[in-house]
Amino acid sequence: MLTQAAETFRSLAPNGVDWSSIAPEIALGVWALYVLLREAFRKPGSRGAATFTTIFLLLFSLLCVRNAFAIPAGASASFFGGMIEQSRTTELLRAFFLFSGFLTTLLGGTLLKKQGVPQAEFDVLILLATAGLMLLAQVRDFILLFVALETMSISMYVLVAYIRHSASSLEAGIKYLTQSGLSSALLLAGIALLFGAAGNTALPGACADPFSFRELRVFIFLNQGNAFVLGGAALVLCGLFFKIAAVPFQIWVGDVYQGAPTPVTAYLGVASKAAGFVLLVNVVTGPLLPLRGVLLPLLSAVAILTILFGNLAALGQQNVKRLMGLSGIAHAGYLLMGVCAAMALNVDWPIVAVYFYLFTYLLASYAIFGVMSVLSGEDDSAQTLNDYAGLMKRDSFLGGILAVSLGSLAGIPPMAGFVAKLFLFIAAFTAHLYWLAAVGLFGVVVSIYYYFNWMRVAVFVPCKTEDEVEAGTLKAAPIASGFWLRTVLTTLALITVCLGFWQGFLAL
Amino acid sequence: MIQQAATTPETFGPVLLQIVLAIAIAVGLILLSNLLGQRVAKRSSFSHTPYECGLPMTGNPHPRFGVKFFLTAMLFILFDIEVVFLFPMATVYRALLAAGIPILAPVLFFLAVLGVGLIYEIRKGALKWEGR
Repeated sequence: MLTQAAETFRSLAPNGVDWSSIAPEIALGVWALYVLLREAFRKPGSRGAATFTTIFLLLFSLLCVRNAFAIPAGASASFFGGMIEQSRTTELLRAFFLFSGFLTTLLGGTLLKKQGVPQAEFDVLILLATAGLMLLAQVRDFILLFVALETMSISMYVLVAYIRHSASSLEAGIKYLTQSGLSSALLLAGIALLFGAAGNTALPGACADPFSFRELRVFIFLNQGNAFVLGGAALVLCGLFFKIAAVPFQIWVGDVYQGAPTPVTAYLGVASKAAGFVLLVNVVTGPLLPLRGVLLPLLSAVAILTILFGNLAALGQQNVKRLMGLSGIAHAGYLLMGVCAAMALNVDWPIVAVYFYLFTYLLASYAIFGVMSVLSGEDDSAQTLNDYAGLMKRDSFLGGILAVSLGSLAGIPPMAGFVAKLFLFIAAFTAHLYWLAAVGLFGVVVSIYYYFNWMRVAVFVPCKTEDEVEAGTLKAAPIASGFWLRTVLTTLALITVCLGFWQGFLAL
Repeated sequence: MIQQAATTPETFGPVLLQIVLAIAIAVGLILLSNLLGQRVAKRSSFSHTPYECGLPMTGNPHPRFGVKFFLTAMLFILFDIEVVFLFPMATVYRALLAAGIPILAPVLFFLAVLGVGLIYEIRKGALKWEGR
């Protein structure tokens, strides 16, 4: 009896268990526990571990970049019985998520202090969410995918509602919780359908492990017309569309982006969306690739609707956080264009283009959200375009950062955003997706209007208090921002400009 | 790996039935209450107040209550799940050891993570019933 059970367990134990392969994620988790304990035993008035957390995330991010270039291009290794696959790309994605975690904790330090909200728990949640995202970059298995996605989502529920005394933050929290819960349910239902179909020994090519991407791909290839396979694939895509805020699932974006604390909005808009795209790319070029004939028109239609909705909805927007959210929907549309091209051509370079676009989006978005968190005032309420009036005169440094980043998002030539958009359009043209590229071009033209409208307000519209300043009744208040925040914002803007001139390292 | 009985799409019939039932009950109840419920002759702002005689309400209709109840419930679920996880590990402990799979250290790590949470809760005063 005992030997029989032992035999079963030996066969169940995943091959290639190598905990060192996920050492960065474990380190993040352990550090989160340490921060929590330190906060519990902290004497009132003494400093927490916030600064260390920020430095820790930055160092880890740089370490991952260094590791990535130690791995030879094209090589990949599997761990935990194929649940995890690591390559140079996944290592760079890890660095991407760590870097966005670093920027979020940095912005959090600026904003949470102003609002008098504790920071330790914020850092813990960011650390845990980042660990989940880093795992997501490497998963090749639906169970681990769901667990890592939920690690991220549950941390995000708390983070969105983090400002407990603000009704709009709580409202955003409950809206995100209910809608994200629904999307997780859809995703899980899809996984269950695929599992049920692929585990069915009556069908050809039944899998021994129906969660593994590799085995599912073979099974789906052999059962393309099966209703369970099609339904499961559709539900899985629905769950992922929610994460990237593609069109039928974009309703939550406005309220959640507006209500969440600014650093969390940035994290939601960049890291969470990037995770959605990494998963989408891995799923549609992995297990679901045999369904290309059905999925390509579907994804193209979603991309077209997403580009149109995002850009048209952002046109009349006065709230800057909503504007970033709605224009983020449009960016998701451009990225979907790259995903469609990757699926149509079945080659890797459109995927590299998608990841490059995500990185330029990270640089520009975090710079803009950084400017926002400096400008937003004591209670994070100064979020309308009017609050940016006369920014160039009040603080030309912040104005300059805003100009570079908005230019990058709009795709104006010297900035990285232009090159990134160019790659995606080239990908769409190479894949003969002409309609998609045409709608994309239309979207870019529309987006220039609202991005430059923001710049127009910052440069040409006189500041509210300007008359009083000239009358001598009020001093032009210098906008307070820390030295480190300014350094980091400058670095982000510099990288944005440099990447616009040099992208030679990309193996396109 | 895991032996599954051969299934056909028809074996999922009960699942489909449950989905249909769930939707039917939810939609049906809303429809029924709309069809059979009381009709408001003319919709005005008073139609939705508890007393339609026009008396102004005093006080908040949604009173706030202490969250200690939720806290207790959440802690209960947390440690309940902990036991649920520990129980199967205890039952197969010998078999896992015989298979050469280290089990004690992972279990202790799992307990330590939960322990850190408990320490944090106690130190933050989440379990203090008075004086908050």
